[in-house]
Amino acid sequence: MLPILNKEHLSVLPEKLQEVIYSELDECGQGETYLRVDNFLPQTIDELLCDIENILSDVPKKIKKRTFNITVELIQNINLHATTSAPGHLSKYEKFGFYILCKMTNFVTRITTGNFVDKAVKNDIEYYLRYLKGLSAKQMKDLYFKIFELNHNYKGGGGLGFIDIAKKTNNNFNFKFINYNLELYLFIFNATVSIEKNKVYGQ
Amino acid sequence: MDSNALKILEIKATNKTPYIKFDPNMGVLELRGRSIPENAVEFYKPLVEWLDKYAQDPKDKTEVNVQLEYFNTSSSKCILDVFKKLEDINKKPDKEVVINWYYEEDDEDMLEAGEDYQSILKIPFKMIEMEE
Repeated sequence: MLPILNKEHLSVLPEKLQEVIYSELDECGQGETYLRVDNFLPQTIDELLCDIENILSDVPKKIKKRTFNITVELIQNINLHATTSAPGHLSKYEKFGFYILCKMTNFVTRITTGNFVDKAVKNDIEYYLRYLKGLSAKQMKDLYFKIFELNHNYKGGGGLGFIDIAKKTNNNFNFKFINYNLELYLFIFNATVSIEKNKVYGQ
Repeated sequence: MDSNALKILEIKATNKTPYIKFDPNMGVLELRGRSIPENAVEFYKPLVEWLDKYAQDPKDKTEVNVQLEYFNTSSSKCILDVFKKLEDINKKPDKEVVINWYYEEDDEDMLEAGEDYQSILKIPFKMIEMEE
């Protein structure tokens, strides 16, 4: 069944999930869109990054590099942290998730990822991301250094990835948790990359 | 221990990992390409271990050339571990380490990343802009 690379094929997914993905695709407007619903194992990540580089070949280098970097962080997050117990028939996919890239213009891209998380970790992620949204650029940098110098493990950088995304988007990111069933939330994350500096820190 | 006893460390680049070469006879470390592996700790482990051996009898001057196109946050922490090993060498009497941090023209993110390392570490950094 996977990968799904075209919205016409979304009908194989549960209705509730289809609605979420369609809603995110609607946000892209008329911009060029790339969709991938897949099992985010290393091979999938390789393929996706190759696709993204091709799509971004004609955008300014700064947009390309930031979009690529943010994509790497987000899809590796799915690989490392998505629950292994996706609902229904999706449970056979170890790291189920989706990725959408919208080239709004040649100067603005919008990246969206979605994956299931266990109810037990939802509050921690939400608290951390809300905290980041409230930081000034200086506070963000201070937190970055604090986490940067801590010891780390194979699971990643201990929240450094979200700080990096916040820095590269000038805090222009959003997220939501959709209550999917008694045990699971669907975690949706959006990041907008723009050449223009959107001064939204601390809002 | 004679540093000449150490063999050259060379790791070929992949689409997710950088080219690494450390010639102990020349005292030159090259790190080039992209560093976005899922498991950066595992990837950088051979270099970190190799540096521990090199640090026992380093050259008077060690030059480090870092020219990265992309790196993920997991790699950024591993690169910090590598630099900390080099910082220890730089603290030794009559030993010097210089890090040449290359970044593409207008790549303010890569320049900032280099400056972040520079602000944490006590090693001379040279920021070198490359024209396209």
